[in-house]
Amino acid sequence: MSKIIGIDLGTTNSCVAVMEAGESTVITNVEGKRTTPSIVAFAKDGERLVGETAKRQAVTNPDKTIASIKRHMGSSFKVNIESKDYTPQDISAFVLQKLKHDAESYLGETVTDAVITVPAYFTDSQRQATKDAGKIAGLNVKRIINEPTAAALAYGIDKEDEDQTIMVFDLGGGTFDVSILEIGNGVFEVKATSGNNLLGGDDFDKVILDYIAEEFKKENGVDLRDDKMSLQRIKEAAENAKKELSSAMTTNINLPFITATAEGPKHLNMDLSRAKFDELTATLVQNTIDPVKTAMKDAKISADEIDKVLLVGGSTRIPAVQDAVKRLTGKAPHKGINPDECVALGAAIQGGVLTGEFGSDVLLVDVTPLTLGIETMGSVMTPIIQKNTRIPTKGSQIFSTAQDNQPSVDIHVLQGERQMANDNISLGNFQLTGIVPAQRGVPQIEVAFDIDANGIVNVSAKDLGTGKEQKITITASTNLSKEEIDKKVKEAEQFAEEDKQKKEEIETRNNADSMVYQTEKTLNELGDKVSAEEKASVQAKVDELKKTIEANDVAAMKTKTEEITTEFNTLAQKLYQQQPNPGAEAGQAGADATGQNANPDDNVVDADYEVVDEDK
Amino acid sequence: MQNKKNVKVNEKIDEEILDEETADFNDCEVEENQETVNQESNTEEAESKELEQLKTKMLRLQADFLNYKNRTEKEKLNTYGNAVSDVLCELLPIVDNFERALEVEAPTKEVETFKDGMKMIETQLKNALSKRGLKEIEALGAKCDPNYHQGIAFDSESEEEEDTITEVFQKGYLVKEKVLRPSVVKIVRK
Repeated sequence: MSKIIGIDLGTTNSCVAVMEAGESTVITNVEGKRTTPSIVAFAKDGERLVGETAKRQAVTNPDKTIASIKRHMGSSFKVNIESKDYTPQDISAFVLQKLKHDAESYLGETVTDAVITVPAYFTDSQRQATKDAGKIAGLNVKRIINEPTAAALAYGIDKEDEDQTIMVFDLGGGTFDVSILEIGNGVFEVKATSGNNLLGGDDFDKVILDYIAEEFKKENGVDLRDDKMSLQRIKEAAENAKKELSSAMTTNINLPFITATAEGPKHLNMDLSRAKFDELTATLVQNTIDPVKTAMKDAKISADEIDKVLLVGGSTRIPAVQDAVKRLTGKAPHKGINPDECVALGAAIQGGVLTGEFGSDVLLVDVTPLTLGIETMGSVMTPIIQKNTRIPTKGSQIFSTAQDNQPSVDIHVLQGERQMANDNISLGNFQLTGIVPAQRGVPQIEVAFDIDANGIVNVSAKDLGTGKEQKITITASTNLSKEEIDKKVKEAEQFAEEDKQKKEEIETRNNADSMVYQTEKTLNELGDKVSAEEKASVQAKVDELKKTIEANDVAAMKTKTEEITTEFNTLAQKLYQQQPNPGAEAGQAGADATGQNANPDDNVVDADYEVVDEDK
Repeated sequence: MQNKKNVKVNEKIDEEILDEETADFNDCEVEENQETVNQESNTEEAESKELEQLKTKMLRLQADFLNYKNRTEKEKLNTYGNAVSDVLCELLPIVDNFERALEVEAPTKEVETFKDGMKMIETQLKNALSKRGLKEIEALGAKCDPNYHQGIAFDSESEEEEDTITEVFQKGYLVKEKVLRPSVVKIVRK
């Protein structure tokens, strides 16, 4: 099923977006840009140009270059090129065709359906003309929606429960539109619109350009606007300065060798402060205030009754504009979404609703915020599902017993990032009993975590030998607030070093313990196949190791374990030469949970057990 | 047909009951069972419908994911190149200004020597850039092509063909066949 693309068919620039897995994203055109100039041109050889290339030849081919056709949509205006008549729909269709083609390139699939936006004040015939343009371009226009409505969708205003009155302030490249909407129960009603369709970002650029030229003229007696190339350079510099002043308080305009006079080359180097910029553009900003007041009057609302103000259009990035809006409405305007793109994003969201991709059963993906695992030998936490794993998800690992003939295992489910079990949150406890008596490390217990889409955690433990299984369901595993979760993650980072050390100590201890066990077992099995002296010497080492375990001397444990390892390996070899020992092999087949064990013979993670079990 | 189905199911249900304890085939029971069966088949229908919907959703999501993955991998390969292009683009005005500076006549020998030094720096800069793939767009004498050239002025005196570029105000550049900046030119217009 093809996707529905959302198209902002603007007067100066157009933008396309699409819904993917619940999120709307802007589609870049084949030139790699996120917006496309809404300009069409016919080259000398009849080739049709759309977008950036059309813009580029606008000066040299003015008669056959068509810009801002949107101003004529719905009228009987016609353009005659090479004795052929084109309606505004035809011209818009050329733009839509390029947008369609670029979207297909980007997505790698055919695109047939679209949602196109229009100004809130567009009449029926203007809307119909837009729909027709889509049809000519080969698009099935599923819906025509208002630009301010699309902006509201992009900001998620429709998701909120209460009825709201919002103002959309749209200052684009060449037009200014202000709309007042009432939203309730997912229904958008346009209460009033106003604007100035000959006011936009280009006007702000011009003001700076003229200022630069005048200042230079004062000092050097040359008007840079007279020469095409210097004009080009100061035009670009003016636009860049405007953009810089949206974030910086002052900017430097640096144009070396801008012109040549009888006295030699001249340079332009001046600073422009935001204060000066605001002064220069004050009239333009004021020109936006009047339509806002008109719209409020027509909608019969006061500034207090406006719940939210949304900013659309690149020029709303100008601080002076934002300040004016704030002063007029008493509200800080919403500006979280790229103002050049939010209308297209909103159109894409509408498209998503129509395909059923968005809306009531939004495919929002949840994650498990903290790591989940179980407690294992030495009171450490062995993680099984890492934090921030998208759910639903599954994870499992095989564990074994810690003692010979251990009849049951205790599964202690934990949540958190710390290495030690006690430092984490306990989610629940259950036991798997009926484990057939066997040497430690032999039974295979598969512990599986299964988190469903609702975040409910099912933990099961299955004895792969007997097939016996025990389960537990945890419903409130994520009952922590976001702040609490962040705090826990931070704590884990703080204590990471400490925890790591503790865990290593435990591992060393476990290794030592295991070494003692294995060595003694092997000695027993070898019986008289090993000489009395060898036995004595190995046993002595084992006893020393035992002492270090009791004394909890980690360093000593490590060294002693290593010492014995070589001896043990020789013994083990002897043993294998006699007969293969299934017990030892099975012990080694157990899964290695931590992956940090230095001792290859001991890669079984032992499930924790309670002393209570032994007494049973 | 439907009735038959229900009856069959009825029988099955009743059979199971019979297994546990001998129960008489009671008319009332049949009706009750029929209703339950209807309800059950309705919920079954609703469930199977939901299942279909979920299946479609899942398949769509899978497809979306694969598409997104492929696209992202392609984008990843291009990211380095794009970053380099961006940096090259920002250095172009510096190249322009170097050229402008070096066009100025040197009035004295000292300035001439200084100019020579600047020329060497310019060469250094240009070499570094061309190593990264920067290429000048051919413009002078060529026919104006909006894909590569931006005409801003007319030459009405030239004898050349219409649209031929007679002056280059600002050089245009390419990186790997992609236009970084078009050439800004003067073209013949009779």
